[in-house]
Amino acid sequence: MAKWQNKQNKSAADLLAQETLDKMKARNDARKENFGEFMSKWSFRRVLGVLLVFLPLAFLAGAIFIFNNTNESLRANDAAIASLESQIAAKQSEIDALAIPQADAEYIRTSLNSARVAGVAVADLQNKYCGLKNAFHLNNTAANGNLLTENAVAIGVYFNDDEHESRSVAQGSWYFSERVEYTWTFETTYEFKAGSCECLWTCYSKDGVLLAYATSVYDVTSGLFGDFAFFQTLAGTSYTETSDPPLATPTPEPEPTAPTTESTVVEESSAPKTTTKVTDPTPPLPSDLEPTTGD
Amino acid sequence: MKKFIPLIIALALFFVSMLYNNVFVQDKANQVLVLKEELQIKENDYTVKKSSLIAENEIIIEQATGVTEQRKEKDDVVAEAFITDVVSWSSFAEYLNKKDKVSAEYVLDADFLALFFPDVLVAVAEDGTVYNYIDTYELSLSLYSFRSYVTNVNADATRYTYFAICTVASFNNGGEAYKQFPIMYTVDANGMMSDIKGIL
Repeated sequence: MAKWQNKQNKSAADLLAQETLDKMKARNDARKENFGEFMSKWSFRRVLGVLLVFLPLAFLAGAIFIFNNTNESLRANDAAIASLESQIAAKQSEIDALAIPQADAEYIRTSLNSARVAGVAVADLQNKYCGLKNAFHLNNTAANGNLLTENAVAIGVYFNDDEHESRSVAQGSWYFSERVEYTWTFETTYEFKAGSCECLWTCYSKDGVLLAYATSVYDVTSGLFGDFAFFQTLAGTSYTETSDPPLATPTPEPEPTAPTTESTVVEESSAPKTTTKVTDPTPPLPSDLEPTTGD
Repeated sequence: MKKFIPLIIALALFFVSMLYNNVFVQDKANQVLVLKEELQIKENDYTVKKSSLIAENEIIIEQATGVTEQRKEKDDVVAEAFITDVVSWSSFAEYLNKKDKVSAEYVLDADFLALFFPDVLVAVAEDGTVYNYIDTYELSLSLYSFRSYVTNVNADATRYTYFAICTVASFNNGGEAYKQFPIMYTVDANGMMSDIKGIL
């Protein structure tokens, strides 16, 4: 019975499998038939016709793309060529400039000598200020005032009226004190660079204490000093600060037409314009500290 | 045959554009390469000529003044290192170290040491804590600028004497100030400094 039942079951399963297989086969056949039908509609001529429409468009698009790309590359290359040509021209100018004969030793010696002669003249005029100012303080006369003005003008001749106001700054007295004798000296210049000399003046007291110093750049072509600045040392400042009684009262000037000189540029410029350089705020340097115990 | 005309024209345009790209772009690219090479050659030429000119100029200036730029530059390095040791510190310990170093390495007179390394205020609290002025107020110094002038060269050009203008920057508790001062010194051919004087 069981055997017969099994046999029955087996044949039912077989039938189901066969049925599924047949369905799949039928579906495949149907697909093939549709495809065949579809393909049968596309003849060679029809395909060729479509290709003859799309291919030219594709090649045309490609040609336009290549053409645009080419133009861009050409533009970029042209710009690069122009830039390189201008760089080459600039570099050639620099090379040509090197070929220009440079200063020889004799020219440099002459230039340094000119700087020295001018520097010494300026130092002498600054030294003259001391006597003139003392005289002016003792005797506030127009004549004495005029001498101060003349001295200022004489100094100004050696300086350039540049962006540092070298002429107006240098025209005044770079250092003045009634309490110490001092001398301005032009320190011989040794340096020559590109047509200019760095110059230095120093102001020492009779005891050899440095009171002030000044720097400038001498231009060989113009024969003038520029970029001028002067500075006082602490020692120099100590001699200018005084609590001494005022000087003798100046005698009144009898000539009414004589111009007053108190407000001349000489007096104003004698006060250093570079005050910030001379009396800059005291930094917390150790020398300002009260020493008590050591290390 | 008429159907093929658009395709032929499109193909022709495509090949013409490819030819145009290859010929002209390649030509310009080659020009750019050639110009770059030329520029490189000129730059090299300039560098060589400039170096040779600088060397010639130095000889001329040495003949005229007795001073060589090279020697001055070497001396400036030595002097700037010295000044940096003197005026650059940011703590009491560093201050003391610099003082010892400078005293050991250079011949300095008492005035110079007193001016640039004066005694620092030190106080001891009841609990034994030691306070010093520099650390308490966070003082520090550093060299801001240095400019030297040759003022003398001896007969055989072995010793150069200088007047240098230095600017030092000082800081404390957020405050900042600058001070300029000169120093004078001599440097020999071996780079040894002597006759050092400093003024504030």
